[in-house]
Amino acid sequence: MSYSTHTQKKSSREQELIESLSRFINLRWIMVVGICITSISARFVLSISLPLTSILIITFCILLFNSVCIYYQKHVKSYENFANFQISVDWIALVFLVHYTGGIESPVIFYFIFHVIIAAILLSKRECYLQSGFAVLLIVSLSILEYFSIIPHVHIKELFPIPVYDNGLYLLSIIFFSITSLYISAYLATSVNNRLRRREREIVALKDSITDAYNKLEELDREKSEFTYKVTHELRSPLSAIQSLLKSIEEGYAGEISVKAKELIIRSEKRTSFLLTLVNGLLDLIAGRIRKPKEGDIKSVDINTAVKNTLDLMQEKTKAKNLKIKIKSTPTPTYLRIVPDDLDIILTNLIDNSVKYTEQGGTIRVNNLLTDKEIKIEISDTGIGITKDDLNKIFDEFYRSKNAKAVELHGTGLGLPIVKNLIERYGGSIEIQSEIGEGTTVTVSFPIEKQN
Amino acid sequence: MTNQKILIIDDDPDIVEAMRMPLEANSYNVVTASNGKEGLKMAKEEIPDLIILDVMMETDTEGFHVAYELRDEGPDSEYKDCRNIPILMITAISQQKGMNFSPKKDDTFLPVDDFIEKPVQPKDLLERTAWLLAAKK
Repeated sequence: MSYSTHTQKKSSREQELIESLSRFINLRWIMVVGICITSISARFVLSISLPLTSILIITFCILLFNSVCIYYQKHVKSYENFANFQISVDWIALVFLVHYTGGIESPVIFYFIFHVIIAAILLSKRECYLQSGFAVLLIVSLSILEYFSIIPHVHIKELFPIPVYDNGLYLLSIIFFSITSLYISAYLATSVNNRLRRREREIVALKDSITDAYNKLEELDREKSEFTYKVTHELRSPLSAIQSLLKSIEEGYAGEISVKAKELIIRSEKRTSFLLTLVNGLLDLIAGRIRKPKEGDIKSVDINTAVKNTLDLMQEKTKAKNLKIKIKSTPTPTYLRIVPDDLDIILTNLIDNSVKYTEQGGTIRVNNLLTDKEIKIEISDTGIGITKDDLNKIFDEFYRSKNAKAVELHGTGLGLPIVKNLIERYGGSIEIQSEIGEGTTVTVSFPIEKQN
Repeated sequence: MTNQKILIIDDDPDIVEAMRMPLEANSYNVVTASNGKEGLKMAKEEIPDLIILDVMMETDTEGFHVAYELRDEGPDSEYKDCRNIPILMITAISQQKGMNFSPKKDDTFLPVDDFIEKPVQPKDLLERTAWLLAAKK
């Protein structure tokens, strides 16, 4: 875990450098165009006597260099060295431009500042200072070489009618101010950048610790569910055995028993039976949480057929209560991608609730719908309804509303949580609307886009 | 009809007892085995009229393996004489989601004749037993 976040961090830092570098390269194209336009308009519009050929040759060299950079961009091993190299080459190009536009008198000299900022962004503090040092060295060398006429001074008379490059004091002040401005810029830019990077590192560390905590929680929850599953599973066998034995005694296979003893056995058997239902419910609930449905088990099920089948199985109960059943199917088969057993559990639980909590002679409607986005099954009844307060708690495990208890004393309170869990496994949702004494409508929706 | 021999293969002695009581009360002759290996040995020796087999014993699917052995169609099968004995499988898995099999889905190729669910209802057990024994004849 810690290893993977570490490498991820490193690569995100590198990723950032790569992105900055490619932005840097793009910027160079703009510089090339800018130099061409500026020098050509200075020459022809402002009639400044620039050595245009030399400037355009330098520009062409920059253009070539940039193309090479693009070409090698993807094969570079150390991006920091690549950045260092590019900045150095730029500075050499810049010093040539400065030389051909008037040397120490050239306004192009201000452009050194830009690369200081770029270096501060791309490189470490130390490297940024070293690069600034290199720039200072280039400016100083140029001034000295021109001052001692070791290289010729290009004089732009439109800017400086009287040349100042050979004025020692002017030269010293230019050198002093360019050194200080470069270093102050380097200091400001690196300190801002450092602060940003530190903040970013803090955020990454925070994000990592949150992700870690979340993963731990999730793992814990999974372990807890796994444990509960095992425990519940283990509870089944003894419960089954107890109930099987009680049944045999109750039905007299162990010999005659007194009426009172038989009554007590029946009571015990009922309680174990309830306990077993509870355990089975818990298993359904937890199994949905710890096991994802297997691809191979998911089938295309026509919801119309599934609803009909479920209602057929409940015929006995609905007839006993004289309930009217109204099914509205979709005009054509509507296929849902789901594990058939899961859909059975969902429908059986929901329709069974409607049957249970609707009085004699009531009506149960099942409405199947297909919209652009969803497959919907609406189950409504004319039953006892659910209060507003209960609606908020009805999906809580083991919760049973007062009026539900009035109808049926014993219930596990697991039906709806199981149903909700199952529906959510398929990205669906369940919504319940109810009016006390009027009835309840349960709407189950499955999104169509998740169906493929 | 009377004194037909029934072999129960189940590792839970209480379930065995719960089934033995109603079966013996109906004059069946009950023999038992507490694991798959012992069950197979008993089946070969006793040649019962019906085998009641638990799915989950030492492993979750031990009962299935026993059933496959008993119904092995191969000419050299050790259990040639057991091939036609009806098998009633006891299971608690039909309600368990997430298992890698479910009897409802697999009964087309699972070599058993009927299923009964745990907890065992004596009436249900007796009905199925009578039905399987009658069908055999």
